[in-house]
Amino acid sequence: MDIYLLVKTVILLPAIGGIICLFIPNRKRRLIEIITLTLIIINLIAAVNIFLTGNQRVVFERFPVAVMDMQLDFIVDALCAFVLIGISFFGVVIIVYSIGWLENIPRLKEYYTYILFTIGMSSGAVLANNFIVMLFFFGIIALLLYLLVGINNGDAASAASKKTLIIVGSTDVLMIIGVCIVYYLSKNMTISEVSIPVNGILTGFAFIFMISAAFAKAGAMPFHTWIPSIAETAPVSVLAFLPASLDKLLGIYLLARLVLNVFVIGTKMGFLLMFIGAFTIVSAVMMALVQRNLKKLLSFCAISQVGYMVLGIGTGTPIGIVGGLFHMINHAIYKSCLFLCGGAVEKETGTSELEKLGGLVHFMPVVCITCTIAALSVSGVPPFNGFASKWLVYQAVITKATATTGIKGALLWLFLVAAMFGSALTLASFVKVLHSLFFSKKPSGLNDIKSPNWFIKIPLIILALLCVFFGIFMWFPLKVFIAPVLGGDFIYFDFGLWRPVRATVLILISLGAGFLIYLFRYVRTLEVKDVFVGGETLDEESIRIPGTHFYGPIKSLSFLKGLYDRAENGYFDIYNIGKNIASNISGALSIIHTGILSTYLLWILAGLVVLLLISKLAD
Amino acid sequence: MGSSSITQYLLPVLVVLPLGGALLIQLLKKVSKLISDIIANFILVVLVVLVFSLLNNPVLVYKVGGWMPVKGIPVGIYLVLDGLSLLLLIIINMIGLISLIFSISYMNKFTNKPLYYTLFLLMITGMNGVVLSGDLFNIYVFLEVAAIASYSLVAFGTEADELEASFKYQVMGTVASAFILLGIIIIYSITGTLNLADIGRVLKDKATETPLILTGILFLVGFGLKGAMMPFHAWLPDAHPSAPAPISAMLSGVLIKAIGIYVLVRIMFNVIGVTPIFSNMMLYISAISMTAGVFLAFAQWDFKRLLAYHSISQMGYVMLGIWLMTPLGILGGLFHMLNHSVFKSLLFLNSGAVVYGTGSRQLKRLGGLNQKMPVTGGTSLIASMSIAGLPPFNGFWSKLIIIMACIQSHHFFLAALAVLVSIMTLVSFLKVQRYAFFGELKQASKDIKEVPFAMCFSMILLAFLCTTMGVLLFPGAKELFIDPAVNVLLNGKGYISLVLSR
Repeated sequence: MDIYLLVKTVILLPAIGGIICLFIPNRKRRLIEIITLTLIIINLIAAVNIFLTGNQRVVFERFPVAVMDMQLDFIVDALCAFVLIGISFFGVVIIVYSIGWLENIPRLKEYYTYILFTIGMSSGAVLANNFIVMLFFFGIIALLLYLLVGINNGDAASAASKKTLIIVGSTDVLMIIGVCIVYYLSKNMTISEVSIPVNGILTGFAFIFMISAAFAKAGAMPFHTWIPSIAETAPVSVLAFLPASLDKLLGIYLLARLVLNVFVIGTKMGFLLMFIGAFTIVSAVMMALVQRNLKKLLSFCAISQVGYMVLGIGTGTPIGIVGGLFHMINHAIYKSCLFLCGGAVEKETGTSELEKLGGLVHFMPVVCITCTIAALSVSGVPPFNGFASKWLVYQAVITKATATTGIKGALLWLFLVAAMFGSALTLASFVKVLHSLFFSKKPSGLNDIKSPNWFIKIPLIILALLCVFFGIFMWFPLKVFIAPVLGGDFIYFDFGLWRPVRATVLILISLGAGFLIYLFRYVRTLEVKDVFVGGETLDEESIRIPGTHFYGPIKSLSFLKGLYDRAENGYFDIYNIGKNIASNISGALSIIHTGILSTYLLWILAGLVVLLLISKLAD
Repeated sequence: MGSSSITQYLLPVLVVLPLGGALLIQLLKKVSKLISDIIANFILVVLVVLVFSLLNNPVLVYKVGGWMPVKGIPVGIYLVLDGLSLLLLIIINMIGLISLIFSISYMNKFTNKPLYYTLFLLMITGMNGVVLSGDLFNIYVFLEVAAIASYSLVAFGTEADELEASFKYQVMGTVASAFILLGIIIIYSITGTLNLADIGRVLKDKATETPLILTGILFLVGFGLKGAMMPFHAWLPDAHPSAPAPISAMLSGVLIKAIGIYVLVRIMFNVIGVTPIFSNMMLYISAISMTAGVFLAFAQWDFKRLLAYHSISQMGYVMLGIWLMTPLGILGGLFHMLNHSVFKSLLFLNSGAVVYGTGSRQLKRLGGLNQKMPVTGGTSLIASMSIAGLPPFNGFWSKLIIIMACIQSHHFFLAALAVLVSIMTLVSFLKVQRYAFFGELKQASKDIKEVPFAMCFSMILLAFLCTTMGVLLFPGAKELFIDPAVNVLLNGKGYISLVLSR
């Protein structure tokens, strides 16, 4: 097919569909959903076609070139083609899920419109080969993010969406200045033709400004704070779509584009990236560990996982970049699966507070199994996909660390430890989640729970299967999607000792052995006793152990207590810090505006005198 | 007659028509209630059509009364139309028309509607006169016409705070006029002429001489006050919110540009000439206005007052672009001026719609208005995103150009400041959105309705402009609307020979 048509399709078709949806009344919900789903499937097909077409420049030459060399210029290469498929794929998943999951909210048609627009604009941002075109699309995506997050009415939702756009929008503005510096230095607005070594103050600033936009979208520290804030107010489908999958794809795509293509980063900047990555992994997972709300826990965990991607890309080695990108796609899969599981639980039980949940394994087995698979993936348990990509990142850090000597080398080993430690803590927090949701005793308040409908279950199953598939057959996504990004051959990479298929067989054998032992125990008759204390039998509720109590003691450790308290009060939140500074400045300025006319007249005279003095003295 | 074209005779019409309309309304106001609505709107429609018909013309000069120059020295009054005046005329008359359409419904809650229209048309007369005059003293006269009309319009509600605001505005405005007049006197005593082009011819390259430096500073203070530059801005946060909403839109969207920024830029660029010290001074004044204005706006909880402080900040942006004096900077500054007139007047109309619907403009007392007033909510979101500089809206393009122009001319610090201001603007408009339009619907506003059609219509029109004006940067539209204005400023003193040769 004609590549020009395909590019137009992936960008414009969803947007046109979105506009059509706006004109359909909310009560014709099924019609809206059919249109949305059809368009998004066409979009996926087009994306796959673009992927199969291979590398090309797509310049719309009849479109005039405006000021500052702005031109409708797109590029198809391995990096954006595979991100493009990811965008459309998660679009399909989320829309199928929304059909079954979403209540009849007042702004239903707007919801579908925004989702469609987001997909179209994201495709544009990913394909863009001109900085201004890219800024243009990213800005619209930020606006749509704001609208989607605030789709529910209410003060909390609007406060959270405001915070989101302030953080994401501000970093987009920072990116503008980065782009301006790049244009100033290279006299070129075409992304694929720019390559700037980061070696001075100016280029350093340009790089930092531009990666801050990538960080804000992906949710890396210190621009991560919008994700936990929206966790409790935005619909789960939005959470699964935007912070968990799409914004990760976009953010890491942007980071990869900047690191691989636009800038040539030296060891210093690489080190900075790795430091941010390692720091993000550990600190976010520490926060995840103590959360009591499922969605909030998942959102902190999503931040933590970004750390692996940044760490991997920061190494600058091929295997690290491959690992980072692979982790990006894996994370999008398992994290959206987890959010969607959380959404299913919330829909059927009416809550996402871990304390109020339990024993759901009997009511929603499919959700339980998919959630367990995704949780094991995110925790980096072999043979699932999370392990595969984390393994690559570890390999990259090890390679880098062995090649570096001195204090830097030592710090690199520290980063490795941090990454592994973070993985362990992730497992710990998901043990808590799984226990609280599925395996603990059912709290007495929870009755009449149904299994969710198939529109909810099918996306979960697909995502869980992908977790398994990408883990065991990791060569497939690596070879097809990710290795071409570096233009290298897949065989070239050294995976260390890890042989996924062989390992999986071994794991399955051991699981089988375990099952046999279980059966063996089961056939023996067991005696079941009620729990009693001092002869008194206790009721069901008081012997229930909710998972939220698991890691309580961590919070009270003396050296962490202060940090946790401050973190929960938003002490480290870049949003609050900025707000305080701005309030102080504006308070000081307000004080001098007394409203007294004579004072103001004095300012005029003073201004006149000062200006005269300046112009005379400067003469 | 110098030019063979007939179009030059349209120039006085642009001034006489609104002036005549203002009088006519007073004469006919007893005939019917509708008559003033009809006359005022009709006149503005005609003016807009006239202005757009003047597009794509060379420099036009109309000599009032047919007084021909004697030995190449002008003796009569000149009306001059070039790219820059045309850009301003478009802003004045287009925003004027849209505000008038809004007024049809909005001003029903005030008593003396014909008087309002009369003052409105006088303000238009004054502003059209200022941008068309090729003569320093006429600029002053028209400027006073516009300013005095605006003093009365600020006090139009005659509540205590409105009268106080108008009083402050009058006092400070008069001080500014005094400085301007003093500047004009000095110029006249040096050159013996008041015609802009002739002054330029006599002065040649004397911009660095002490009396002219003094004049420059006097004009800076005078027009800087009219254009709300810091530290001469203090009247604006009182005056702009106190006026009825369509007038606030005119004041913030148009007046401060037409009688403040335009005149200063015209005189300094085209007539006296800019010294490096002066342009640097202007750059830093712009930077201060831009930054302090946005931080002051950050703390406001009164919807209109917040908007007023943003006007100060955005004017700083405009001036920053223009006074970089590079082609890109001037392009960005002028384009931002055009954009600002659209989104800021839309925001003021939104605030008017909110007041009309709920009776309050305190953000803390509002909330959830999107549920009841979708048009107001939607258009205000578009305007907020425009002023905050998010794509695809018009503010994005002009801010992008200004930041780029700062970087290109090595003003990295100013670029960083512009970015900071952009972020703070985003923050404070998200605050407006969060408290007024999103969030929980307040009990007090359970029964409110969307505003009447005329008001919705003008808001939608402006929102449409906000969304689409980015196309003006593309070849085709750019040569028609923006490039002529940019060229006038880049041409500098070339203006003199262009006018004198006609």
